[in-house]
Amino acid sequence: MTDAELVTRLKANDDAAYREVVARYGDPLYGYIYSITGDHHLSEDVISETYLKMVEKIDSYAFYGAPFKAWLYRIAHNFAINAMKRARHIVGGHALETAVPGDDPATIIAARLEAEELRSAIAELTEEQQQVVLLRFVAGQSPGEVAQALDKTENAVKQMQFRALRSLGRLLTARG
Amino acid sequence: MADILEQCLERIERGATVDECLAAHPAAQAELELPLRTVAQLRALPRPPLPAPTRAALETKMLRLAAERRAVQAPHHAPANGAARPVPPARRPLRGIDPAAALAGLLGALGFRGTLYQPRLRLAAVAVTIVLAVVLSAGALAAARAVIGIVHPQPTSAPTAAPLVFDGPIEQISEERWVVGGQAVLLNSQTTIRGNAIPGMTAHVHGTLIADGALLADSIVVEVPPATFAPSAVPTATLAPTALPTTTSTAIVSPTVMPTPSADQPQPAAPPTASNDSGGNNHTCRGQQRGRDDKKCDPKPHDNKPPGDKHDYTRKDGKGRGR
Repeated sequence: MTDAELVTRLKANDDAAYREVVARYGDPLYGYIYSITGDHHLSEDVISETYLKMVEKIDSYAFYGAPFKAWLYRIAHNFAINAMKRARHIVGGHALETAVPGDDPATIIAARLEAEELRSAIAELTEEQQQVVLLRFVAGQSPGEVAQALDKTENAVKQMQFRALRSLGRLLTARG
Repeated sequence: MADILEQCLERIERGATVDECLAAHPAAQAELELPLRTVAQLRALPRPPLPAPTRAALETKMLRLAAERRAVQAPHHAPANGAARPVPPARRPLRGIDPAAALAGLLGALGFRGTLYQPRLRLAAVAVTIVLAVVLSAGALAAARAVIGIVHPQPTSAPTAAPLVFDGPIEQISEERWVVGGQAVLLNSQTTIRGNAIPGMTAHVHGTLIADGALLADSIVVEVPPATFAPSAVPTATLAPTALPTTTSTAIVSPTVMPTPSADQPQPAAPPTASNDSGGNNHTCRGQQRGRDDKKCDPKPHDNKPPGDKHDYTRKDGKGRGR
């Protein structure tokens, strides 16, 4: 089932389409949201809100070139950023939830802290730069897909990507 | 530099290392290293899968929402098994039509399956909208003109050129209008007159009937009757200019008089040319001799008659007039 067919069947309130959209995009969306929030509870709330918003807006969604996936990620990104603004960071306790069995706790915590530093550095970028780096390197989208999601040209996305990565690198270097 | 970075990223996705990419671009190493290392950190961010309980709860919620939507959209015809019903896609109100979406839909209907970038799509949609607006307005304007032309046809300003030739007695003479045989004859600068125009004499008129029924004379030939000229036979026709009919197109100016004296006709005298008017006045007689009181044209010869004319009315003693 292509995304166009999926959208058509979602608008038609087909149960199979509603199952499919969760199966197809549940994991990538959750991973994307978690990369922003760093918290499972927040991520679960955000993904639930994302799918609710999708159902609410599906009738007005027009599939004319922009991937359905880009539209979903945009909704998820906005909810994740808003959730981060409202909630506190929870560090430490939840890190073990994602730990690989056998890993040294110190390693786990170090990785967690590194990830937190990266997230806080990302939060200091502009909103567009945040979207570019997260969609490109966390969600794994191509420059063309990111361009469609952000309503920009591919060249503009490449330029923004370069500037965002340079700024992010400098921020991380400054934090040590 | 952005393009070089993208090339390196593509190589890294295919399995190359950051160091390999930096080695491939030694001149850009200083600028490339930090972004490439940062990308590696970003890709290393944990991205856990959707936990199973969360997935199940989410799916249940979605199915419930689908059922609620079906119930709202078709309260009497909602299928019980959750199968899709052929509900037409939601229609936007007319005022909410997005030109870019319409253009994308048109391109899709024509078979285009490529990527449509929003900024270019919007620019193209605006350009197409402007072109369509210009074409439609031009067509509407042409149609409106055609309708107006049918409903209110414009009267033609050109005179109806109907040539007319007739003969008739001269009844009235004025600078720009004669009456010949009861027909008003208009004169302009192009009208040629032959002969002495005397009321009562027959005029052979060549002219053109113009729009308002008047006749514009191209030429008038005054025929002299075979009988001896007798001044008393001159009818007392008024020579005062009459009110001119209004015409739409012809500019009525002083006619050109071309006297043609005939040797076998008892002409009183060859009328002088207009240039003989040494006084420089623009006299209404137009080549005819000025009357005694300058108020009417006098057919009688005056001092400037050519010698040898048998109709010499001057006194032989040179005093006064012959008559």
